[in-house]
Amino acid sequence: MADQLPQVLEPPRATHAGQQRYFQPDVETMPRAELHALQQRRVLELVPYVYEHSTFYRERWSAAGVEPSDIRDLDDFHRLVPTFTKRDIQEFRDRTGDPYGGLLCVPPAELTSIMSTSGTTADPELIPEIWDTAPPLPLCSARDLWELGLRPGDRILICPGTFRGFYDTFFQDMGLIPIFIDTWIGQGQQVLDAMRRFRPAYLQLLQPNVLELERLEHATDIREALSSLKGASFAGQPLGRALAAKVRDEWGVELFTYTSAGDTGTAWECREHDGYHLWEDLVLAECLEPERDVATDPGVVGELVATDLDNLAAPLVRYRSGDLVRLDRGTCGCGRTHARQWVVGRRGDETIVAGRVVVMGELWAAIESLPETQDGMFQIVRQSSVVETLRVRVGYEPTRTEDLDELRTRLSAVVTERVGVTPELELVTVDALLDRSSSVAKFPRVVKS
Amino acid sequence: MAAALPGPHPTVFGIGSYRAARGQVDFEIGWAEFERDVRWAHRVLATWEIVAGDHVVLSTPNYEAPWTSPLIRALRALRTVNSNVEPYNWDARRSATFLRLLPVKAYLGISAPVAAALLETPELLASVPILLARPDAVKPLRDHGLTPAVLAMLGPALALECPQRAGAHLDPAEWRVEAVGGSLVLTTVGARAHLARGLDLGVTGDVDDSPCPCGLPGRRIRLA
Repeated sequence: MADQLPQVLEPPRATHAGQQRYFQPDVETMPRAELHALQQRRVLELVPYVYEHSTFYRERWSAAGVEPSDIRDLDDFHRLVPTFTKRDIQEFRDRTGDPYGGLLCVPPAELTSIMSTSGTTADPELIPEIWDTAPPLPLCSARDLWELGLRPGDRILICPGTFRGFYDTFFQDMGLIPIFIDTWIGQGQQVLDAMRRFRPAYLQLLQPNVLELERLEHATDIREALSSLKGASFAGQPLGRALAAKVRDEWGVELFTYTSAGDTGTAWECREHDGYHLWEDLVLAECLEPERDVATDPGVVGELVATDLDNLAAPLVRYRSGDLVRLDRGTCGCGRTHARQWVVGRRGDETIVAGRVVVMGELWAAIESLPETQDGMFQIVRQSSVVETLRVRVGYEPTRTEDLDELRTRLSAVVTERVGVTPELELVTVDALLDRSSSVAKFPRVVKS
Repeated sequence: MAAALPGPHPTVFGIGSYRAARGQVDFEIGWAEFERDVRWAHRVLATWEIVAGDHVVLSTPNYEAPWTSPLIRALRALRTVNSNVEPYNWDARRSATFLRLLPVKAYLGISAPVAAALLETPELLASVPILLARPDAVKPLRDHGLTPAVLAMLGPALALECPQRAGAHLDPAEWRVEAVGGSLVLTTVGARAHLARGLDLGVTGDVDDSPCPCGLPGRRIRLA
């Protein structure tokens, strides 16, 4: 065994022009017709593969009367292959005892790793993986970090979290030099010290990190400390608009926010900051009506339904992510042709008020239409999804608010007009609202109290 | 996408940092020394008889890579199946999920907060044949009748116990450890980018020069 020495030195595999905007120009700017053909090719390979190897899909598709031979193109796929939710996987696991929920397509010993979902609201779900060079989740951000401006030779502060994979090999294969410093919550001063010592081009920030740095403003020049950054990634609980403006305008840091691509990977903002790019050579993204397997009209909010195009271990095929999104398949200002998404909420966040359905996205649109509440920070307070009164806790920005009673009246009017229900409003400052959240990863839009 | 990656920096694995009596000490890690560390990790893992297909849970944040990445890459070379968990109390549920759902052969790097949470359901860890625990997790695990071995990050070095559980090994080709007045002191002997000379590790313990039955060379350290 001792003779089997691992290879850790690898020769460079490709060269990149330092000023080139795209990491993979041919893929990132691929014409939509070619992208469609590529997706169709991969889907037609995927369908018989999962039917043969996954007990979950075989059982589910058989019950729906679907066989792989029925799927001859993407239209057939959209029309015939049933969608499923996380609950379906859990039920399969509970019924069969299969820890992978019937999704696994290879013997467990052939896996490279088994990662897991964030587990914000329930036990984490297993994510089996097969890979050679770098773990799938870090790897799928290569184009995004290139867009952020990272280039071989840059130093970066390593991100702390590992539950979706280690990052060292990925950053190293990007030609970057990782600085291994603890940047987890509570290390604000250490982060600033490291920024000054190493002058890195990149770090990851969460909302609590930003609040920590803000608390250190009185004693240090944050803008100077962060001045070496080409950009910072940002995810999880959102910043209020005022805090985001401080990071951008006072500290001089360009934040690149990213979000989940329906549990198949991540979707990042580009430098246009106009939606999150889904890499459609890796994921087939659909926007369906929440209650029916019917595509929404272009630009209309629906549920993101995702199909893994690059995962042979346990691919998700027409997985209802629960994310309510708006999709745009038009070319972005950056020139990339892949779809962008805007996440407006989570399925299940809908509330039935005195028999009337109130959709999160509609409520959101009403609240952010006023300047005092344009951060869109709010929570529905409810004990169940069926209530008699719509209670909403809304964050307002004090610097833009003169008269709370007048704001309450105006806000009530726009909500009533938009969603058809008159709300009971609790107004708190945006900061006070963020302080109530117990999670750094996600801001809860529905709470019980 | 992997094929498009530019490839690693020619000389530098990365830059780590450890706390010493004189403050924070930054240290560069070169690829040649990193490769030797992987080789050493491979030898230690061999004593544990971890083989291809074994499921290994790893609890080590990314910033600990200067110490634990050699271990992780040795595991990858062995073709084990690895799962990551965070060492913080709030993430204990992730560890519990893996332990409940999958046959875990080894849990490496378990922390005291996570151990405390998992020990509320003692059967979870009792089923794991190999526990390599951070020093502050060893006692609570032993108090519950478990037999953890030590995984310790000491200055820039990694110390690992073998199945004898009779002191932690450091690669003698890279490091020399001495007990000076009860304190452990580290000196670099390998050709490394960062040289530690007489570094007080800030921990008390003793050294054992007797040959270890596991066959690994060099002295072992026992943390007090």
